Amino acid sequence: MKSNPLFFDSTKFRGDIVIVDIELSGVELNEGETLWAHVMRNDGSEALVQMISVGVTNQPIKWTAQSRLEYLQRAKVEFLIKSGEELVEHSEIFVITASYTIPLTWDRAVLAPQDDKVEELSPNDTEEISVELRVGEDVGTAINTNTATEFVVEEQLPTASIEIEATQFENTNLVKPDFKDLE
Amino acid sequence: MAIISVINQKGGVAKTTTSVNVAASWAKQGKNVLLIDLDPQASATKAIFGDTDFDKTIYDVIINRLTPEEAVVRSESFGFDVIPSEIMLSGVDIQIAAHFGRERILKKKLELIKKKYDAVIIDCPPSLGLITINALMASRDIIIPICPEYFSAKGINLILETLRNIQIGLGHKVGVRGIVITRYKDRKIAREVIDKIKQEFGIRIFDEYIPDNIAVEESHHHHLPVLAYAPESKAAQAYYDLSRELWEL
Repeated sequence: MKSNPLFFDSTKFRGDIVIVDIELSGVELNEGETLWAHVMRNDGSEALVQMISVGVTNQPIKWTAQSRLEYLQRAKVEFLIKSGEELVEHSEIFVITASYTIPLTWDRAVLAPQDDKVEELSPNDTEEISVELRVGEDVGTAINTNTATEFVVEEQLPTASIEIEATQFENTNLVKPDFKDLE
Repeated sequence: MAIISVINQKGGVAKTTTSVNVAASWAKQGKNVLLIDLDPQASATKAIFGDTDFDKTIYDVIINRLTPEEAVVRSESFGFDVIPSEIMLSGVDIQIAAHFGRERILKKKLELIKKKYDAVIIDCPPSLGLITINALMASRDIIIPICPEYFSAKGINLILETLRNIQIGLGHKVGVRGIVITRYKDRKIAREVIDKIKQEFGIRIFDEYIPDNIAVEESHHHHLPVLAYAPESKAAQAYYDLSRELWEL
């Protein structure tokens, strides 16, 4: 907010307690996750408030939570994503000046689902997947060919054709499978 | 009761024409309506009452010299009550700048009379100052008249930013009831601007476009609502339909 005095509440003095709407956009949750605002006040007190979605169908989801803060005083807010009691991810700490509504944006990277569920790739899927192979002390790289299930060792290793269940490697090119049995 | 501000910081977009004709159409439909002229240029006051000077105006209400009830004047030809304006209102920002609760003066005043009316329409000045902030703080919704010209979208951005700042700094959320297209001529540029506004903002554009029609200007000179001056004109019909559309929201 610009420091335009038109938009300051003349009935409140700096430090008066006001109820503040903390609004967050840019976050989409995976199934089972919850979003929390961790509010750190100037006096050292803290509050952890669950945020609720106020999304409108044709607009990005917006989250909101209320907290009591001192008007025009600095405070800090960090956002936490939890799955049950487990902390999945947290945002940077935002320094805010308390007014009635605090709009914030946290561009949470889109994360892959956290569970073991993976989608089956179709044979025509041309997404490139590379796999680092270790055979004894030799290291090689395998990349997928036109089909998503057949991998050919390209270098260093003796020519070999390995069939791998591509569904094991969905969304990754950093998988290091154990191929000891190829030795 | 609905309190609606007709606002656009840009001048010449038919704020006053929209305010008085929507108010008159609602009155014609049997609603009890109050129009507050909050523009120091007093365009609505002049459109309704001609060159009559009023001793008791919204200025006296704002500076706490009168209750709103004492400043109300009835217009029989328009069919609604009016709190007139005067040029003194242009300096009122300075007078109330140090006033405790300066943003909510009008809101508190309207508390005293709002039960008497089905709707209050506030004709705002073409500027953003404490008077406009007072109008917005007193309103539940706004309507935005625009002429579909090249810079119209920029004006809408400014209004939306103002509403956002009021929500952030003053804790009051004002809804946008919609955009009224005024002085419409069926030209390519007008259609393009309207399409752009539809795409860029998630705001309703009322179905009834108010056509650029000489009957509107003439009705001001005769101090009548266009519905009474030229009831068969396209502008009269458009304002009447717009008022119904607005009321149903």
